[in-house]
Amino acid sequence: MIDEVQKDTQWIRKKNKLIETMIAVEKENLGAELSAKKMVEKLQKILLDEMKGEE
Amino acid sequence: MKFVSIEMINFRQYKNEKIFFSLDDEKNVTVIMGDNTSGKTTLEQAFYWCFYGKTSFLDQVLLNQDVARDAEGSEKRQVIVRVEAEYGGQYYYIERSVDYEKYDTVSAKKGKGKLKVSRKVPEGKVVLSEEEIKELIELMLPEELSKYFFFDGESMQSMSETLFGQKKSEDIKDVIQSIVGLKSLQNLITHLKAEGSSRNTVVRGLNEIIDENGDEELRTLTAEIDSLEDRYLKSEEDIESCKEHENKLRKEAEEIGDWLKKNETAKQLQNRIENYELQKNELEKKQEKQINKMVNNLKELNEINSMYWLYQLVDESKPEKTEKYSNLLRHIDKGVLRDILNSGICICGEKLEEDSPHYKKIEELLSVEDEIGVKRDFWAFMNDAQRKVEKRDVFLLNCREDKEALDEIEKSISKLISEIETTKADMETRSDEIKCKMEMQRDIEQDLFSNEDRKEKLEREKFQIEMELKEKKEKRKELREIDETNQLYRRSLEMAEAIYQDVKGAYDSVENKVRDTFCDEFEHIYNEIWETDQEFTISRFYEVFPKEKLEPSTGQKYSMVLSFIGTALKMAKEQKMKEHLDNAWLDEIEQYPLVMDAPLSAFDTTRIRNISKVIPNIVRQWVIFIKDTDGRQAEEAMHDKIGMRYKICKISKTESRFRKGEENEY
Repeated sequence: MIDEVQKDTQWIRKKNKLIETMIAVEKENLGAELSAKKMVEKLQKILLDEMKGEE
Repeated sequence: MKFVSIEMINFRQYKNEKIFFSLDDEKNVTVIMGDNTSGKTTLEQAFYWCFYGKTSFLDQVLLNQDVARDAEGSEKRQVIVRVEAEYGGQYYYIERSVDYEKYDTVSAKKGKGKLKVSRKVPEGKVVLSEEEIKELIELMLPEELSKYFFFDGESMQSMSETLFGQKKSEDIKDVIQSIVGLKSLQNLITHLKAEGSSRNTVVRGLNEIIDENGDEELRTLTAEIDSLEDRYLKSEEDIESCKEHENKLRKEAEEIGDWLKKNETAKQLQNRIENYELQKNELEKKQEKQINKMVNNLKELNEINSMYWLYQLVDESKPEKTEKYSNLLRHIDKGVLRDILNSGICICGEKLEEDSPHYKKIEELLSVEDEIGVKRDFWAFMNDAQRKVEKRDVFLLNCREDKEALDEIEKSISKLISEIETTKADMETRSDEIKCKMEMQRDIEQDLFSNEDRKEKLEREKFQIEMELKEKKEKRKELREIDETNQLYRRSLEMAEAIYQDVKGAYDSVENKVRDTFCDEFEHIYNEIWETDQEFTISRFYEVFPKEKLEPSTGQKYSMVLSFIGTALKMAKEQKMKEHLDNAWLDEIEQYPLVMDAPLSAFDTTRIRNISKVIPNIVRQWVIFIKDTDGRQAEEAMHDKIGMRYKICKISKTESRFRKGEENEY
């Protein structure tokens, strides 16, 4: 499954951007340990939004 | 980040002191000299308290003892520490204060006090909100890193134990990652998928959301729906065929009905027969009546005939009609004569007296009465006979007519009988066919009935299937929604896994490079301080192991700690990670100042000189507290790096003051 995702060129183009976004979220949340759950929710949301955008 | 100044009011032995730190990039060292117990540690703790509201003082009392003693009644005394710092090109005033009342001086700690932060703007100051303060402190000088930048002998000892693997700590790796700017990347990895931990991660979260059972349920449900739909179609077809059959039967029944209607002549025939029968009965009654009538007539005729013959005979021998009185006496009998005599008056009105002629006449008549009577009867008979004889011809004519009428009746009867027989025979042939059709009609009706029964049963079944289908489809719709979301989550999970692998791969490779670089830098700094050629390895947890066996002295250990901190700060200062990783993936690297209550006494002169030479070059700002006795070596080694000098003067046990020092003073 992951291989398929990796092969998807559109996805590869997006991936770095997505990682940057996620890191930006992490940077905003330097007290990460405290808000891990919130953080995860945020990351999940980024991924899901990205997915919906793809569709 | 750089410290600009610190001001302390009533904080321990500092009643009202303010010092400024060197902000010069070249002369980045601020030296603060003081003897033991003069207040070096207090100054370092003032920073710590100002930022985090904590100190490591055993008694936890911050208020200056003189002030506490002089306070009266419920008068409040305030402890304040103000730090001015430069961060990201802006100037901030960080102020922590706590109020003491007299009795507080003997009571326990006062807690964190109140923190106030404002930013310098051209018009004055902007006060930050609590949230902004929290964020700023976290960015400026995170507490978890602080112990590496506010140093005293104690933390030096503790850290050396950690570094040499005597005390396990996972913190140190995190601290190094933070300093070199990998914290966010590391957090991202943990947040994506913390393997072997129970943390809430993106991958775990998505896995939890994905409803695997839903898929299986959906497959089963779809199979059920398919089979139900087949059954539904089948029942629809069956119902349709039932309807067709019904139409066919109705058509057949109609045809038979029509045929039977057309063949109602059979009934007419029957009616006709019945009508004939009625007519026949009527005629038969008439016949009987006629016969009776004729029998009576015959009887009468017999009588007339005998009379006729007798009359002929008697008429030839009838007595003389010339006899006296005969005509009269034909009509008057004896009784009438006697009544006339008895009444005394004759019918002619003549009084009847005995011996009168009338009387005698009537007596005479009485005496011949018997003879007259026979004659009278005879004449009566004769008259009667004559009448009858006279009627005989007419009677005979009547009898002939009666006979003719009877013949007519009998003829009609025979005709009717013949008609009835013919009609019956006709009906007989037709009734077989009717019987057959009627049987067919009955069969069709039976068939229609059972067909209707079957149709109703099928319709009930169809309705049940329809209901079941509706329910299942509703459920499937729900499950499909779950399934669609599942697919979304699955794809998202794949992406998360892919991102995780990518980021983890990048991190692992960069992490090794960090350690290699760290190791090289560490060796370099350490060897510069210790003037040796020692090689080290750095473990995954940033424990430091000399490659050659080494029993380090305290000086060597402290040198390693200094080198370690120095390496981290140097890497941050030189932004070493940018060579290995995309800038966007790295945190903004902050160059932290080093505030160190340095136990230089643990080092020999050469080491002090070396440390003093090396550290200013690798940190952005160095605030170093040193003992008076170490001052000269430090001054010698880094006189061109010192921007500010202070000496702590101990006025009394409860008060110290700063005095600005001069170059080469020591």
